[in-house]
Amino acid sequence: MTSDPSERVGFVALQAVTKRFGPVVANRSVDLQVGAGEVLALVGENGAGKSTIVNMLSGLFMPDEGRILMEGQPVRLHSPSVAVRAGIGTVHQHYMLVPTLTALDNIALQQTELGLGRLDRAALAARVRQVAADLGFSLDLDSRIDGLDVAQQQRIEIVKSMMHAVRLLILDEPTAVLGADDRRHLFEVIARLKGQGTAVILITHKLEDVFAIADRAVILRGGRVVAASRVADLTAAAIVAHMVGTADSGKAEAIATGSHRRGGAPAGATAVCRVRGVTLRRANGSVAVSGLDVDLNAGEILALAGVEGNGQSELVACLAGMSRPYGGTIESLGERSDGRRWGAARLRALGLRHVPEDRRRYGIVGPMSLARNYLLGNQDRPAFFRWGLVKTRRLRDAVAARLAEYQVVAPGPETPMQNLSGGNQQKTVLARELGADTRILLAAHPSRGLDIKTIRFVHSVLEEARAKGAAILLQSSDIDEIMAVADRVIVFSDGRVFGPAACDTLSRAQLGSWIAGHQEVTP
Amino acid sequence: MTRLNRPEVYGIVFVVALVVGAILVAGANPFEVARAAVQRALFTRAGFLEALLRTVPLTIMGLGIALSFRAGVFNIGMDGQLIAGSALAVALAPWLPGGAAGIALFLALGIAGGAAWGGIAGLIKARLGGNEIITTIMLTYVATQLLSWLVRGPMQEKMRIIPRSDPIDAALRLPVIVEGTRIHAGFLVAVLAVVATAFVVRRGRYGFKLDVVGQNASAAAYAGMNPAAIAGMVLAVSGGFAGLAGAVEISGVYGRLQEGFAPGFGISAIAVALVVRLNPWLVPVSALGFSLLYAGLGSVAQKALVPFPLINIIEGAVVFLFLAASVMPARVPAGAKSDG
Ligand SMILES: Nc1ncnc2c1ncn2[C@@H]1O[C@H](COP(=O)(O)OP(=O)(O)OP(=O)(O)O)[C@@H](O)[C@H]1O
Ligand SMILES: [Mg+2]
Repeated sequence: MTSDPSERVGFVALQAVTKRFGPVVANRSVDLQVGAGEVLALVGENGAGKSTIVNMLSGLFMPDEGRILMEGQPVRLHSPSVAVRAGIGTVHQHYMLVPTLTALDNIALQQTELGLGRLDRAALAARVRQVAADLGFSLDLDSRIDGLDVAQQQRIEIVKSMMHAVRLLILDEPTAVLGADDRRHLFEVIARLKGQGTAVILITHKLEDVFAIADRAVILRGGRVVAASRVADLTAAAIVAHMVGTADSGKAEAIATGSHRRGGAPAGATAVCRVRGVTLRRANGSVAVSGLDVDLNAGEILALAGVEGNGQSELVACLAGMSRPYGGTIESLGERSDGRRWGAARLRALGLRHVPEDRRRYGIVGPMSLARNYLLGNQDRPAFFRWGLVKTRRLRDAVAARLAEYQVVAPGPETPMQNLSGGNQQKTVLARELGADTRILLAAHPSRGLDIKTIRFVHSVLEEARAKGAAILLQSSDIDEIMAVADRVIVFSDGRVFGPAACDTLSRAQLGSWIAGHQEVTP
Repeated sequence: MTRLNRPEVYGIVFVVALVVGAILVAGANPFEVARAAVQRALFTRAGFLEALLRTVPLTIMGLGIALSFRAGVFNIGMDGQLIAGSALAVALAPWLPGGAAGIALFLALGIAGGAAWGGIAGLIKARLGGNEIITTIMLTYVATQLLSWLVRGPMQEKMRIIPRSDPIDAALRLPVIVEGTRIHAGFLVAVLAVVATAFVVRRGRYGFKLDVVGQNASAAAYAGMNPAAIAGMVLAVSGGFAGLAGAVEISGVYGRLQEGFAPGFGISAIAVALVVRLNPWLVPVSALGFSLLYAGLGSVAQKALVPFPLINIIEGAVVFLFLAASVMPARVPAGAKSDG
């Protein structure tokens, strides 16, 4: 049945697979295969159809046309449990963990949901520990998910997906949320699995991931496979050229390397937000940072860096008016954090915009249309209302224009948010929050989940906002991003605060060692 | 994704079997029971008019339920709020002027009373985080007992024979709008309420806030809304609808305060709103449907075809069937969206 004997039939293969969602064609006659012991990178712009392939392989939906083969035999993966039994493990782009349950309960839940047999807890815990040990993870099985950072949650997802004999592991954008150390660790795990003969499909927007770990790359554009090649034969610029569909190698090169440099902050800065002697506590009550003093100036981009979980999110939450600092005060846009009016509504009215870290949880309402999602945070602005009623046409036009500007892949403003691809959901939040008349912008990981072309675009939007005098706090764990756009940087590391320091005079090595918690550059 | 091995289907089959079984055990013919119910509701003038009359309060209350449920707030205590609104309106009725202004004030008092009663639960929810399901149920008990005391004590009629109030002034009665029937101007009030509510839900800022709070309270907070305050407030708003329904019933039908004049309407209103998935435009349709059902079953009970408790069972079963049917197309298999 293999049409061409010279072509090695992969362990898992898609043949001419097409998947439609109403008028949207998510995958168009996709051919793809991955062999045992091979790492296949799947790359493409936001909305190119990567997660749709994942969802078909993990049994969430069936192809409309074409077929899926395993070891040369056609299979019907009509439910997640069928896929799991067939040896396909999946870590989805958005984790499917119940935040209020423990890690072990989450795994137990999946086992029962998929009808994979009821185990007693002790036996299950032993199995989980075994799987984790094989992967080189040390897990705390009894702590609740909402108390864990994203890297730990990801490990639990990986363990969860590996509870059954897995011959194909699919990781959908696993590195988007990881810092450098966790990323390295993940790649060690992938390398080990590969050594054991496991096939791996890795989806990523970071080209360095492709070169670091993948054997082959398949590039998607508009649901079609536009290139499939050994990684050794590819360059970053070539991948980008395929992704965005340009023949202009100079343009592709520019996108791939981000060859532009910031303009520099204007002199004579005026502080719009003053943080004085602030103490921040984590959700579990431990002190993350104490005695923090920093100003956020109009017309600058201040980067907030460091390994996740060291108080960065807590600081952003305070600045956004979602909470008050545990100690000390914040004065922002004329409001004080110990004042009665302190809160997100008041600060937003004064010109604060906030791109929250977890945009799916805090930034969007999945079942609502894109247009209605655009009203979030704008619900008290007169521009879109008359006598308490939405100016529907005006809103629709404004949203359509923003979607076009950000090149959001969506049929139109009336599409439900949840129908968009992960990255396009992110884009709509950015399109909403990075508007004009912004005085303070809190951007938490704004480039997370975006394709590189869009990241460049977002950076240019940040720079534009800065040029118009906005004060921007950029929370990021990506040194490249910080060095590319920020004027100053402040690092939280294990209770210590480094900086703020001007990025111009700071070396990457110095920033790296601060993030690692050392004052001096480690030799 | 239309497979038949779904829990709703089993549920429906089970419930139908249960009801048919119960009717058979009671020694009646299920077909006869069904025929009698349909016959009365749809093919007799009295039955149909009775149903139309009941549609008015069920519509108004269903709208209130739709608002609060959209915000994820479960107002189970509309019966209490209805009593509070009616009692306040009747208590202050003697001081009201006559004519249209008087009627409007009478209805406004009903709204105020219901809103206050719902507002108590709202305050407890917003300030103390108290669960509204429990508080609204409790407040309904309180209201029922209060009513029972009022119509035997301070508000009892001058004759002091029957536990009920004196009739309100004839000038405060909603006029009959269809000659020869009891269909009163409350009908128009219900129509207005439908249109206003539908606009607020579909296009209003307030409706938008309710939806956001109901679907993603964290996102609401990040957008600068106060989910607790909105959730508390909507209890007062939906209480206002209940109070309005009560005032309309009194002004349009009974003319005085008495016990048990809107039996279980608060619970029926939940079914009315849920069946049409909280869509205000469809609430009146669903209210009419349920009213026809009640009218039909009422005649079955009168003819004593089956023992009375069985009527309640059939009623509950029908509500269940509608709800099961209405969730069926809505259920999307878990995770079938692109990114979970
Ligand atoms: N459940 C759905 N209903 C309607 N459209 C959908 C659905 N799931 C995906 N789509 C559409 O299919 C296309 C491909 O989506 P997919 O999630 O596969 O993109 P992706 O390559 O994973 O993008 P990203 O990098 O943003 O995660 C998009 O246009 C998306 O809007
Ligand atoms: Mg995706």
